[in-house]
Amino acid sequence: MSDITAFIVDDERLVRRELKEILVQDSRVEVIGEASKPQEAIDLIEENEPELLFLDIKMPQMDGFELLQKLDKVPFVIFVTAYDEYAIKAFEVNALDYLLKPVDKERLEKTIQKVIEKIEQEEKENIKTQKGVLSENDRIFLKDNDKCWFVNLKDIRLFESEGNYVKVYFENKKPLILKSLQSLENRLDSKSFFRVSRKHILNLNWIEKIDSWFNGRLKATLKDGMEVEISRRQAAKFKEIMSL
Amino acid sequence: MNLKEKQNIYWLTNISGWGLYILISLIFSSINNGISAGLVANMVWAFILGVFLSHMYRKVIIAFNWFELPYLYLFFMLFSGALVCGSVFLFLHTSILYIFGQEVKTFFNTSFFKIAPLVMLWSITFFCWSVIYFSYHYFERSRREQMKNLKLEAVKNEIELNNLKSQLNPHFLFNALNSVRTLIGEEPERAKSALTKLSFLLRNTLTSGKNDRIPLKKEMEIVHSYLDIEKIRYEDRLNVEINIPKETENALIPPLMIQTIVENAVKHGISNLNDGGTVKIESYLSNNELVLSVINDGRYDVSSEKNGESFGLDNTKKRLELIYGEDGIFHIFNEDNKVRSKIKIPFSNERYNSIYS
Repeated sequence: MSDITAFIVDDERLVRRELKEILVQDSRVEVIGEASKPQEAIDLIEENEPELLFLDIKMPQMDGFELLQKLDKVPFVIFVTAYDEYAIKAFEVNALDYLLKPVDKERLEKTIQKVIEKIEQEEKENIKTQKGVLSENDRIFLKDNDKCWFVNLKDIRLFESEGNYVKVYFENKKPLILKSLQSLENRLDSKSFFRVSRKHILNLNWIEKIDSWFNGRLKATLKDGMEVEISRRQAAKFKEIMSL
Repeated sequence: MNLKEKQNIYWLTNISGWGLYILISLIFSSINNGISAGLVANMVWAFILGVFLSHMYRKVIIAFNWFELPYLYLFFMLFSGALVCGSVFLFLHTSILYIFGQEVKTFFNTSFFKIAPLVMLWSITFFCWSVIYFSYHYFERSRREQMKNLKLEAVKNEIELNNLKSQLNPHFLFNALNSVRTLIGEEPERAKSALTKLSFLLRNTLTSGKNDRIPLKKEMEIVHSYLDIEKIRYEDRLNVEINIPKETENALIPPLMIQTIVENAVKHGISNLNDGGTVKIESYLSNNELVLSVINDGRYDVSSEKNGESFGLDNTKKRLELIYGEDGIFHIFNEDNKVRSKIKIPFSNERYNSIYS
């Protein structure tokens, strides 16, 4: 398999240098870029879509978590931190790979190995993601108060607009993200996600059954029992897609 | 112990003391001479007069504040006081008994020499009373002093501990170690000097808490080391300007005070700015006061005070208050895109306090 493309974000030049020096010796990884400022990092990551991100947690203006929240599509992330016990605790067990500064070469190699296995797993399932589009195998980063998750889009049942936020339904959780439903719709793969009304974007793979509802509307029942209304305007389009 | 409790203890001990003394006298007298109504009346009056006179005596002691007298002088005063009290006591006691028709030797019907042993007896009694009174008083006072010293010691220890915590805080330490590590390949000489500075900084953190005050120039050595280490990490994002005029160099300040503020300036100020900024440290004298300022780019968030993030600053305030009372002033405020931390303390020079150097 080809090299993993990696990107480094850290506000300290020496830390980036140190990390690159170690990574250069690792034939499995190719560092395709680096950034010292979070905003610059976001632009470069969106543009180059690296597979792996080395990310500092404490940075000026925006910490590593905020940066991830701003990304539409999140690569595999390895956090690099000097001492951020509280931040690491925000994750559920095993949900996070992190390295402590000064970076230990052996530990880095092990962590990369773990990431490679995850990437290979995805490749085996033949789900190489498409550039620019958020397909159902892409990850997004969610944060709710003090909890954080990397969530695959296929595990998300529903996006619900709520003021300036969007409520994301997955497992038994529903954290909010600061995004508009419109911008999400533009990025999401229309094969899996459908805008069923002004309020909702639905993951089609989660639909259990569809019923006619009054006034030409439809009602979708999801696999977990949740019911979502499909507006009259969208119902025709919906039937077309689902070839009902 | 409050005043009311103290009063109660005084009355209780004074009355029971006299009561016991008189009761014992009564028992011994009745063994020798048999008990009689006259003897009992005699003793009851002695008791009343004893309590009354000793109370008056106490009022005099408090009014003239004999507690502060030098020991020799105090001894002389107690001796004279006892003699006066003994005489007055005997005069009143015999007079009262005489009025009630008892046959007693009074100052009117006997020569002074015959009554002198009785004067001596009662004077010794009052002398003993005053010794007990003063012993209790001194004991209480030393206990109070001890309590106060313990409290002061506790506050001092707390401050020392907080300083240690902030210096040995893992974030700083790990970042410093990481900085040094990265330098080893790039600039080995600088890496060596960085390690020396780090050990200098740690050593001073561990030891300087033991001094009450250190000269400003010594504190600045610590601050320099700290900033040099941080400069490895922040590179050109951290600029330092220091302006410490010669006349302030020997001024005495509480150790690690500027260091704590500078650390805050870097941690909460510079590190939050994309392009970094400048930390400026200056000092000057004004009206026999030393004014120290740490100015950094950034913004001071007042709400962080309530969230307990400004532990170092809280500590600084407490410390100044403890050492200088109202003369030590600490302020932190925003000033056109900069944060200024300002300390004002009375100026004292190393020469006058050479023990601290």
